[in-house]
Amino acid sequence: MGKRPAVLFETEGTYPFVGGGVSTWADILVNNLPEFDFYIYAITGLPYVEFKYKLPKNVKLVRQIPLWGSEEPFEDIFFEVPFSSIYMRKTKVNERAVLRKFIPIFIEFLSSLMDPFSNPEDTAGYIWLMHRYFSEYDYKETFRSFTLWQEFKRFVILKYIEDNQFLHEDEMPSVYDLTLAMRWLYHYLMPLYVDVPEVDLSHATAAGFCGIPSVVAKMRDGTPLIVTDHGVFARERYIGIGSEKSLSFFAKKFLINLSILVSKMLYKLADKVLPVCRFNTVWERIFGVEEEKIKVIYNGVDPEVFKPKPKPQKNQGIPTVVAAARIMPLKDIETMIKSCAIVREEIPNVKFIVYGSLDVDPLYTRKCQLLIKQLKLEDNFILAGHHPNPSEIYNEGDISVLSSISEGFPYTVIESMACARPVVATDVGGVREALEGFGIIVRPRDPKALAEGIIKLLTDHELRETLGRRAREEVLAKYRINSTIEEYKKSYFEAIQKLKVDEREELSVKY
Amino acid sequence: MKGKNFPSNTEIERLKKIEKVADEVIEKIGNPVSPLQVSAVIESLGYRHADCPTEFGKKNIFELSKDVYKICKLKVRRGKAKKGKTKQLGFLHSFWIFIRYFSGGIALGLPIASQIAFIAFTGYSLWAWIKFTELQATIVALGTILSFIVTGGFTQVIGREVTYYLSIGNKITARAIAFKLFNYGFATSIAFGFLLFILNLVFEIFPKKFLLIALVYYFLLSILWLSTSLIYSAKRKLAVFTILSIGTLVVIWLHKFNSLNIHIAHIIGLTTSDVLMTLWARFIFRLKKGEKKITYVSLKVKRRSVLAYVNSPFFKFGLYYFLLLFLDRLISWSAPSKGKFYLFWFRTPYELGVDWALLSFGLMLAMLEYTVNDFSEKLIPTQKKFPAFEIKSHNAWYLNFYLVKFSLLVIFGLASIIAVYLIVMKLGEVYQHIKEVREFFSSPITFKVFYLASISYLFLAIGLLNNLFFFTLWKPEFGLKAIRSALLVDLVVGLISSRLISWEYGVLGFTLGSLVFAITTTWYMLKFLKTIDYQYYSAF
Repeated sequence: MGKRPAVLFETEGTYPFVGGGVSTWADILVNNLPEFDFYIYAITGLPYVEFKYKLPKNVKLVRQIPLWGSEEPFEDIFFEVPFSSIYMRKTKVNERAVLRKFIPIFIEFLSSLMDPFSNPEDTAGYIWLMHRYFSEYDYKETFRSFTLWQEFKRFVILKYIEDNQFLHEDEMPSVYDLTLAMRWLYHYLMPLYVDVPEVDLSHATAAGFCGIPSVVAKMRDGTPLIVTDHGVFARERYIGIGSEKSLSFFAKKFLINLSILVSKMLYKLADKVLPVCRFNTVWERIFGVEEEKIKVIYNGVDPEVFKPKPKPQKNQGIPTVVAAARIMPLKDIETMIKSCAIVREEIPNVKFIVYGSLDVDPLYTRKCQLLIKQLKLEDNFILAGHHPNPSEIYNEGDISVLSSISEGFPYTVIESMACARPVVATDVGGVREALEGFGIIVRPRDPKALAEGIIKLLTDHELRETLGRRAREEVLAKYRINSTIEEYKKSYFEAIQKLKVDEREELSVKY
Repeated sequence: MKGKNFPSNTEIERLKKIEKVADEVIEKIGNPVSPLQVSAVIESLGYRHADCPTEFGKKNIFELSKDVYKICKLKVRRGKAKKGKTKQLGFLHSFWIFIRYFSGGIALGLPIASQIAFIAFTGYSLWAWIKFTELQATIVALGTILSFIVTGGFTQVIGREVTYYLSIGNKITARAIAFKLFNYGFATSIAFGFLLFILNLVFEIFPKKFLLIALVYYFLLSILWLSTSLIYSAKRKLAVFTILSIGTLVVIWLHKFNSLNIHIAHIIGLTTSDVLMTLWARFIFRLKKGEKKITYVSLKVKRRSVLAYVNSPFFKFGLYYFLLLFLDRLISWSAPSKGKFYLFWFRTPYELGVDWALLSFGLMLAMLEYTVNDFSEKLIPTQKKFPAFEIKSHNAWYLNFYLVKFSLLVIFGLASIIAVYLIVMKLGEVYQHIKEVREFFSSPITFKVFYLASISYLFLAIGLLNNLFFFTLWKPEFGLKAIRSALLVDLVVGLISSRLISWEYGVLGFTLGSLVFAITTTWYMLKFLKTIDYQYYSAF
């Protein structure tokens, strides 16, 4: 019996340190693919994280890569490596070494970053060369080089002005913008510093910075690469970075360009792109993914775990709307709260119960609590915090609601459907693909429309029952967890096989 | 008119809707970077591809976004987008900054100032007594000086590491590293004390009883400095003042009102302060119930090798700084002189002169506190003020800033020295009927040392001013090189002058050493400022 195939599994701000839909998906995957060994490379914000999931035996390694908050990156990434070998890398760095060995590659990389038509394969080459450099020279000492800073400044200012005629006053970079930009490169390219194991396959769970080790594996060993898009990383960066009021035009443009560059590179090198919904494929094609690489694998649930049950006694006779959502801006809980106020005018004893962590964004949580108080909804809208048994959430209500402004293929929708609880949800991401015909879909940021959908379902018992029943049937037909796992397993084996076939062909050509 | 096509009502409606979308996009993201970004934002605003043909006459959102992008750009260029102008800091704001941080600096010196006040008004401090014999004073001085030097590096590192983790909200690691570093300092203090004891057994430098008492003071004060640094790093300055005062009151009560031996009284007072300081530090760093359950994946505290590597420059600086502060006393008090019994012998007039000069130094330190905080507050606004192609102007701005602060410090320092001199002289006149006051002014050595030590402290303050900039931007190597040179000069000049001229001229070593520190750091600073854009960028 041969060794189990090894998978380099890359996450960003999710599994196994943060909860949420992507982490749920990742946990399901690693637990249900015991025929593979997983090496998890998890990008986090800060180094101080806890495991939120119990890891199965086939997870052989978890390497955390904190992008921020590390005084010495190697200490948080390679804490098992003796300091003496890290010290050797540090002493090797000097201005001459940086000038001769690093700057030429770095300038080419910058050139790609600032050119929207750059070749992603060239970018992958630069990533590979930079990684090789960092296997000998220290990452932090290199980025602190004076020569590097001077070259960066010179190149970026000249190129930016050359490529952007007729710049508006607000579009001119400041000294601070240069500082920010170079520091972002230091932080976001941190995965370059990481040693990449020899594996049979790499799987990036976002077309983002977490996929950089995959690129290294591909360039070094030809390791097949799979990318899964839950949301589309590049699209989310357009929105997220754009919304940052504190950033200047140049800073936003630089960071967006960096994010797009990495996305395009991953899409180009990917052997398979597996989005969780068809909605994502529109954007994938825009970023150059060939049609034949794309295969939609919808998320799945276990219908034996998420199954219909009667409402608990405490909620009997009370029209109850449940939601499973972490309290954060993307979930737009404020619109949900406002819709509750409208629903209450028709149904005075309505109750909204939102299960989800209150700690993700304490400021936003406070904002929601104040809004509840302001609208006098303390008896009607409950922020109930984390629920230890997610499978019981939906059965506590008559219907469920989702008011997000951005989603992939949300588990909360199909879990609720599996429990025969119809959903009123905003038309974002892949929600329509799951819910059309089995629930009510409304525009985002529209409390009135959301309220109307909720009132309709709460007052029309027959409609509610019909939709609920049909929703469960749809889940049984299309969104079973076993089917999802099988699809991933098939994709994994196909990718690995393809490499072996290619290698054999290469050898046969040679001889 | 022939050939002229006017838009229909539908088209006008659609244009208005498109403009409304553009306004919404600008509201959300300001000046867009590309049409593709606009597409993503339009989607997130709730618009759907399916609605575009009927609502906007466009195939889909991507087509729509091309027009929306152009409109956004036009509006931005016409100034309709919000501008992110940097807030201009007015005079009142600058004055407030000065008051806030200068008084913060005064508060930093409050514990030491209170000890000076105690001794002035009661004759007692936590480790001194106005009626000490020279032998007793020698014992206590030796213990005190050694405690500062041995713990100097650790207090520097504790301040740095703990402040860093608290600033990123990680109380758990801050706590872990605080107590780990405290333990290292504690262990080092014991080891050093033990080594001294053994050396003394072999070489018989001091009588055994003398050294034992000195080591007790040394040990208790070492714990005090270490635990004080924990509390300072958590920014609880008032607690330090309070606990030191409680200890001093214990000393007074035991010796003055209960006739206990002064050393026993000091030992109990110091122990009281040590226990309270340590307990208070534990209380400040206590973990709440939920926090205790957290187990981080990454190491809670850096490995020893890494801790040593990243903190070594700061540790060395702390050690050298306290050496520089006390080396002149070690040199002068070990020089041959009349009335000297052991290798190291306390000299009252010398100490009075240095302590007198120290009053002005305390005021200069408050000025440094203001300067470094003002610098930190201005870093980002200044960087935002200058375009990227005007880096030379940006750096020149900082040179100007520095020269203003430098001049302010010099003027303030000189004024402090003069003020302290005049005030103390006036107090001497007023209280000349008190024997101890007459004795204070009786020796010309006190005045000689005061003049030289005052100017030395001013030079030291200049060196520290420069060093604060280096430390703020994570470049300790400049200050380290400078202080090493200063120590060397202090040692050589101090030894030569105390042995060839007279014992009290050990202070000349301090003067020239601190002058070297000032000149060297200033020279580095002027070069540093030429590349301050780089220095700020690389401050990580």
